[in-house]
Amino acid sequence: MIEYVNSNSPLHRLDPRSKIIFSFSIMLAAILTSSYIILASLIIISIIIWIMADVPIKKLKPIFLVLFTFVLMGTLTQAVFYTDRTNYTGPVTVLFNLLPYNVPVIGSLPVTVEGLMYGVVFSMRMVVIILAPVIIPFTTHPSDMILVLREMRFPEWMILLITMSIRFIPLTFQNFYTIRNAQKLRKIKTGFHDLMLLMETLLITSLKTSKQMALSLETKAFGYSSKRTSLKTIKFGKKDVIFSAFSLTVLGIVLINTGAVYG
Amino acid sequence: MDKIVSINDLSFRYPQSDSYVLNNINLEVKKGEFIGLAGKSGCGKSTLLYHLCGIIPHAVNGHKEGKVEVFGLDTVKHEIPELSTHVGMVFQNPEVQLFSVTVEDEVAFIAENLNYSVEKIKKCLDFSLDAVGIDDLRERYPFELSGGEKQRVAIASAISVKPEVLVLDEPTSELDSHGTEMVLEVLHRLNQAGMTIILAEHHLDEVACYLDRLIVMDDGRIIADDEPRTIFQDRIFESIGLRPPQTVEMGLRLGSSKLPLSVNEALDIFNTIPTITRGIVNQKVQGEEIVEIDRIVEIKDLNFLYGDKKVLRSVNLSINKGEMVGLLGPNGSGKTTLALLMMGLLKPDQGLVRVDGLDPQKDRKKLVHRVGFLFQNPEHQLFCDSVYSELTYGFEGGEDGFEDQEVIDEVINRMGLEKFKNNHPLTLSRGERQRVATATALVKKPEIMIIDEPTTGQDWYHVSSFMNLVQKLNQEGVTIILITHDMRVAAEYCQRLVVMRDGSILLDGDTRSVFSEIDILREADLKPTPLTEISLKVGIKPPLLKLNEIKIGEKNDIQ
Repeated sequence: MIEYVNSNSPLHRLDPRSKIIFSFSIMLAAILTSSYIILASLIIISIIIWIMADVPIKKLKPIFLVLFTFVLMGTLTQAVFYTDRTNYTGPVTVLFNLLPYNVPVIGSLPVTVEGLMYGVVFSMRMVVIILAPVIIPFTTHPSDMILVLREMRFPEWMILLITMSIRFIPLTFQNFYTIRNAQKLRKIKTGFHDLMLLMETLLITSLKTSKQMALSLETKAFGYSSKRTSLKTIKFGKKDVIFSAFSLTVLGIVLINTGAVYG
Repeated sequence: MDKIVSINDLSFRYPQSDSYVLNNINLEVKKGEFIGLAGKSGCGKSTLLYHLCGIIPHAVNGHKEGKVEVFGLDTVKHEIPELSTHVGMVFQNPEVQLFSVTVEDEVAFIAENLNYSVEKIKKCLDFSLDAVGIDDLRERYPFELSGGEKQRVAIASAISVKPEVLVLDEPTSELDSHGTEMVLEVLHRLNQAGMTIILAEHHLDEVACYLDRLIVMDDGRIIADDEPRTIFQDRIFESIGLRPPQTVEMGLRLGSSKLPLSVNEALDIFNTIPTITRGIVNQKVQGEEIVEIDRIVEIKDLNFLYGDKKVLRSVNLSINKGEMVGLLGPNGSGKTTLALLMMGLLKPDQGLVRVDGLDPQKDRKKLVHRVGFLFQNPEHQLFCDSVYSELTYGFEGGEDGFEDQEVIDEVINRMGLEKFKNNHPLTLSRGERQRVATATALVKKPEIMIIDEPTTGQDWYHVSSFMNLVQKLNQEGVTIILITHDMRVAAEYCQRLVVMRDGSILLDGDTRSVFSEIDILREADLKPTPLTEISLKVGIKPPLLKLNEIKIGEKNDIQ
């Protein structure tokens, strides 16, 4: 669903770490604030960054679907249940009832102005929280992410585990579907027992595959030395400093604003 | 030439086994040799190769006797990383030997692990990408590449630290003809540049002409080690149930004093013996007649999309009852997708599919009992804890359970599975597993069998046993749809061929006429058998398909 898009956009040229700083700053700012204006500003900033990232609009289709679901569900549930909480002490202004009569346990599901307002804030927050971080996989080549992990002194076995999972997980899924198809071709209705049989076969075939992978790794001198050189390196340059400073400034402004509100 | 590998009195058995996989092996390899290693599955080829790169004894345990030295280094005393700078290893399945997210990272992997300097890694990388000819793939994801490209990346990775010896364990067995050609070209080039190559391989048609030496193993022993022509002349292959390259078989049939190892050599022989050439040229070829009976498969304007990708484009296909149809095409041409659509496991985006008069989407329940499907890897269709329960799977609670019991017993007998009845299917050998998988389809007494790549990675002994069974089923009236990369199997067993490329049908006709269209076959990255190629080159059209069709005689004797 989310995969690297090859481009030479300004976002692609940045060090992955500056994009991680941006994502965390924007996400944290969205979590801390409840201001419509600030949340709207954060959404606009995220959209501008997305435009700069030069990701084809069709690649964003699944993201839009997720966003739409969150916005719809978030607004609706908060509109109905926000004032229903036991610790809610504020005013309750009912706009209309979703159900024309009282249903035991759930009531008539009233939509309140206060709930609706909170629902909008909640949805805007979710939009920012989703939009900001997914920019990273779209604009960062997996090999650069691996370099970040290496820079962060992650153990080599853990890095290998991550890179292998990129390959091994789809391979396992492929095998899962093949075995499931084989079952479907012999049995019309498959149940839990068949799933267990499938998992057993999948486990055996996966263990065989991992054994072969382990042998191949041995012949590639993996684990030869605790030190390991790397052909590629990443550099946190001037552009990264500027982008990170911008991200932290946004977070700072939100922190000051939030402090003023709560203070 | 310098001796670079030395094996003395090597015997080996795995811990869980009482019998020896290798028995008293003695072998010397000289610098720059291109050595082929042949033998039936399970004869000990892989185990022998594992000794050369140190996998045995360092990563795989067992009881070992004798001594293995690579460049004077005792493989027991020297660890795998140290040996990896002398011996590169490439395995059968490219999927299990690629670990990085770009080709460049993959090729640099060993040098990085060996803690080389960045400058040295760059040199290794450039050397390797250039030697294998994959510089254009540098930035690609390894797992997005074709099978042949993946295997070339695996080779580039193995030779990155410039080992003197490259050891390959059936590297082309999972590739289509184009992928095989790409890999063998690379090996030939590396050998020309001075690298020693040791290649374990079942199918020697393409590679025999490159070999300096051929070693034949049987039951853990080296039974022949000589120049390939001598081994073929001595009929060593036939004595252990294998078959030599088809050009060699042609040479033997024609009584040639120097056996041809390539298509060009075979052609030269025909050209120097005019009477034989005329004999072949003028031989009357009888084309198999396909009698139209009932249509059992009907596909019209079939389109199938996988995400944004069009996997099948306006496919039209009819298969008659009792036919044996080969479905050919390079990897990714849509063959397996078409088969899954016939079984109702995928839903067409557009078009009509009817199998035995049934709509696979709506009548899958009935279809499951009329069509048997064999997957490429038998392991993926065996999931019960005994062979017997595997055969009863899907019949549990059936109304006609007693009748099924009789059928099951009959199939067990027919497939020779009596002694394995209570064994776990996954503990059996590959050939036995394939028989169990076939039996699971036969218990339904199917009218159609769809068989996906049954010969991948198998020696001729197992291929012919399986294909003879399939042919017998076909003679008994079962319609066979065979997806295959093996051109010899297609030529010798199928009555009709359907060639696919990029989701479309390029050719559809009787086997001879399809093999006549050599240019279109090339378009689909398919390479016909040497016999077909040679007969077309000498002007026989439609071409010969089987060796017994070569008739030797005087010009005037032949029609």
